[in-house]
Amino acid sequence: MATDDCAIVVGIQTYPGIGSLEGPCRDALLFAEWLEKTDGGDLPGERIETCLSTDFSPPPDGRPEKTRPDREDIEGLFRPFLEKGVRGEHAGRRLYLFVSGHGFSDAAESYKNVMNTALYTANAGRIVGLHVAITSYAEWIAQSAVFDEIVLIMDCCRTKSLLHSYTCPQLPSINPNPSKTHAVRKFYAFAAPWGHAAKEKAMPHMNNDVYGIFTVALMEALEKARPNRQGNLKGEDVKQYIHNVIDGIAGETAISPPEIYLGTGQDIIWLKRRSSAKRHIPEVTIRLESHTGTEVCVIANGRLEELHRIPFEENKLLCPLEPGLYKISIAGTDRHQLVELLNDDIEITL
Amino acid sequence: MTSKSRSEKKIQLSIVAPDKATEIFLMDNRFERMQSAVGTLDRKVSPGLYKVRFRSGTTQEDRLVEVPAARPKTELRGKPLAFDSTTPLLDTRARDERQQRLAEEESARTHVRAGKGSGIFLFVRHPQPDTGRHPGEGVTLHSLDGREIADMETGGIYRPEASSCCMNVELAPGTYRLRVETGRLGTFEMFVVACRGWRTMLFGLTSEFANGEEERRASTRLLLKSVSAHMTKPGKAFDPASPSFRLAELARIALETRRTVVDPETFPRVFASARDNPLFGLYGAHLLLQERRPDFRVIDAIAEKLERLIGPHPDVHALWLAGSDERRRKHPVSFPAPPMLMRSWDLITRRSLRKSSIVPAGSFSDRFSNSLLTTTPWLLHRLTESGEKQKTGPSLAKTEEMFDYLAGVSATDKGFSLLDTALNQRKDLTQLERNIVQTLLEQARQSIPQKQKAPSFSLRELVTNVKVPTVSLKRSARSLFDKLDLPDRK
Repeated sequence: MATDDCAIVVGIQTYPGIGSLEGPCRDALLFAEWLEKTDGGDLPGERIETCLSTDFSPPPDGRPEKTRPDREDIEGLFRPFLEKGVRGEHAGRRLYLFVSGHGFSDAAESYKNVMNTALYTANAGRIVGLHVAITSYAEWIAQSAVFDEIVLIMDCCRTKSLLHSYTCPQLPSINPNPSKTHAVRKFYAFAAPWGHAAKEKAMPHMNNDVYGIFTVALMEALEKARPNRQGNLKGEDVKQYIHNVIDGIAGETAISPPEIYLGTGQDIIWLKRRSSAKRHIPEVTIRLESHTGTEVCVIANGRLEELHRIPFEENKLLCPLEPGLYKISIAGTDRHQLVELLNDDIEITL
Repeated sequence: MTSKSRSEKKIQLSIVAPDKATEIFLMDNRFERMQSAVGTLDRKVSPGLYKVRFRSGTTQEDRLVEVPAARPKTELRGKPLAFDSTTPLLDTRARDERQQRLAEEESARTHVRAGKGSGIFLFVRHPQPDTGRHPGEGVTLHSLDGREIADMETGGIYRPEASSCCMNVELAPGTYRLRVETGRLGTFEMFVVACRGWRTMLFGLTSEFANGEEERRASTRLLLKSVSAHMTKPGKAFDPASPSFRLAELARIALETRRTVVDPETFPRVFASARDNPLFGLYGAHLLLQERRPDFRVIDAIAEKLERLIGPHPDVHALWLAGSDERRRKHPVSFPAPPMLMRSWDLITRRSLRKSSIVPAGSFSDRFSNSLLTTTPWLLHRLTESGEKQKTGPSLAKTEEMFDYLAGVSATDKGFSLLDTALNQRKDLTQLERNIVQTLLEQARQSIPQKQKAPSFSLRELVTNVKVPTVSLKRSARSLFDKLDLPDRK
């Protein structure tokens, strides 16, 4: 069990001042569930701090500026780590920071702050854009080397606001040790590129409930992305997987590709897949438009080497294949299809 | 031992994007990226299957390609991608034919005559169908001295069924202010340069600017940062299928998203084929400048072509400010009027560190920077009701000394608290003064722990952060000292 890891999980969806969302609390819960799973983050429940819109009642007088969670609710979650940082203490191996809600980016195009992204708090308005400068907290914690690894996930917009400036919080002064700071491994993932919006949508395969598209892609990556031979699922694997599947998850919803930053040091290992764990081998169902009984299916791999030659005994056949690119054809004909197989089962017709 | 025969067998793979500003990514059968390019990608590869990703703007599409051993060459051509475009172009997500027709028909007519020699065409649409609200509400065009030239609501053409409106204004060459009055959130402006013998075409989307449903309905306005700008010859109708408009639109999006969609080797040829829209060349040159080692021969050639084509233009002049002193000496420029692009403004403010007079004191470029908004790609500002009383600033050396003192003050507990309180409570600070104070506080926060002493002050860093020329900093140094009641260091 990852008794040395900690997590802060925030989901804000009730925004009376700027327009509410539907997915953030579900996103946050989805991630929190993964954190607790033994084949996920494997964190003890007490090391996961959550802060969700659904934890708070609407303000009795209905005033948007009284809606919670507010800045204090969220910033308070960071306080134990700030205290440890000031005392020069080590708090654990990894800190997960997951936030979902409305957000924005620093408008300035300075080389220093291209990653700066803030989460609007529930009491934000169009004029007074109350927010928490999440990336500043992540960077402060990284600088102080309170944890060896920081995993930052921000499923929120990174649009540039004309009226709201990204305001750095009052973080305590520290005297960081450069070699320790440099050794901190990072995985910073933003649902949208700088200046763009993140999207949520109803997910047909998840009871038609609304989720952040990026969160769903991330969760799929954590569940299905292929680890290396040692079973380690690295940051780069998760990043590649998300980039490969997110358009499919978004479907008709127009999205901008996410931005994932792996830091300058070593890549993190998200998790180690147990060798005993049953790995899903995706299956391809190959259907024939018409079946004469003489057709033979030829499956070639990405190097065009023939892997299988299987006669069609009926008008369809099933073949399990490792993720990759394949050419599936009917022998002796020009009927063929190029197929990209990630981790889901697919069906094609020839 | 590796198989020799496999490594020797290579086939030419040629990938052609639908246009010269679409990015191409080539991945192998393990989904690992092999190469990326813009417009076309040529490479010798082993026979096999490959995944190709095309990216136009922020839209991407994947294709699989088979490279058989039996053929000497394999070619893959991408289809146009429907990207998010502000300009109502064909094969984009903005494909409402009524909007395209309106722009096509009305761009050939003149609606307002306010001068001769140049023109500005404005087109504003709602992103979603909305027949109830005039998209041009609150949008006016002004001369640099603030005189109103045209009002979109009264001077333009509105088609409710197309949720859009437009206005074609004939005017004298110069820099103009496109103003949007949003109500409670303030009035914003961007700058539009009209060149002799050319017409600048601006397309924009509306957005909501207020709280609550009632207020929201009443304050849907043009969002200036969404604007897309092009140039054509006056009288030439807008063509939604124009390849040069498509290229310019993609280049503008790249400026906004910090992507690279031009290649220094091919860009001169690409621009030569798109010279009917010179702004594509301007965007491209600025994109080339963002390379780690910009090829100034290419940028010089583009800037010279642009000058010959459209005459004096502050954004073209700004291109001469990057690179060597020799380049700058050859092209002495000054900027009494602001440019259109934030990137041009960045070059100007940085250059002002060495040559303060590049922005003449008291000029509009000096005055407006009190209320500058740090956004991209356009240089925007928020109109302030009472113009700041202009004071003459001290010398640059004195200014640096004053800010150095202020940085020292901010590094003490008492000083930090003074500036922090001023930032949060003083209502008389201009936006620029607030930005300066904020930068100093941030610098103090970052520097104190590392050095345990007063942070060393860098005027360059201040200019980079607050994005104003030194002439405006000089002025603000004095006014800040006055407002904060600091010891007289004049």
